[in-house]
Amino acid sequence: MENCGHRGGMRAVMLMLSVSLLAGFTAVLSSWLLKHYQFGAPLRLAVALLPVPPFIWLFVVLIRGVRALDEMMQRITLEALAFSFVGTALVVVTYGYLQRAGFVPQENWSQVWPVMVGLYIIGYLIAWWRYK
Amino acid sequence: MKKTFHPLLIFSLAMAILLASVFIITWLLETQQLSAPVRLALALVPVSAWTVCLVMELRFLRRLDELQRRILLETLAIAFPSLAVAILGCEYLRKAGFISSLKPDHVLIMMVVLLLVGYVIARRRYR
Repeated sequence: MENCGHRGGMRAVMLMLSVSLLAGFTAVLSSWLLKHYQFGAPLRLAVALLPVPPFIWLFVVLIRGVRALDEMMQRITLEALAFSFVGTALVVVTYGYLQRAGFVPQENWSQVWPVMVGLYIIGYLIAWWRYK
Repeated sequence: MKKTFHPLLIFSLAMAILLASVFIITWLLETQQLSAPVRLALALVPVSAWTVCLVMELRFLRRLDELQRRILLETLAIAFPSLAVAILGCEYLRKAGFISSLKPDHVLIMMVVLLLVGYVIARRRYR
């Protein structure tokens, strides 16, 4: 029974890794195609949105993973997500004001997701340390 | 006995101050000619209110019961990766020349909308 649960957990991790790799691959492929080829508008739109379906799939896999967490991991994940979400908003607001005040250059906000991931890791470590 | 305020009350108060400061500071930065130190000080005002919000939010989370915690976890588990997917989608649409670059206001609006969508979905699931 325990072996069965372990196998199920491994399968979930493998699925998450495979979908992550697929999402990463389509993101790189889409970037490369848009940079090196001139497409018509409909094809350009299709290529631009190519990475979105694998990312939506990854998103579904992640939510299923969160639902299957035990009580302690749920608490840690909740605090990490809350920290990261509010922290991201703080970074966005502060940078936006510094931009308006002329202290920092105009940035492309599409690059905000590494900040989200970084804050999630910090939030996770704080929560994990708290519940250790 | 020492009276303590509920974290949700302090969180709501900090949010209200924050929202008010967003409008006032945006107006000041866009319409007034201010010196560099004043502009910098104004730009950093929301950080203090936002930090209070963050601390109160974390305290509030620790007081939630099991069901509320699950709803909030699912809300954030939906909103957080959705935001990453939405930003990624915008980035590729920009590369393809369909939209101009994202602004901080757009990211904030996306966050609020996705949080509401996540909450509605999670609420329905645990109703």
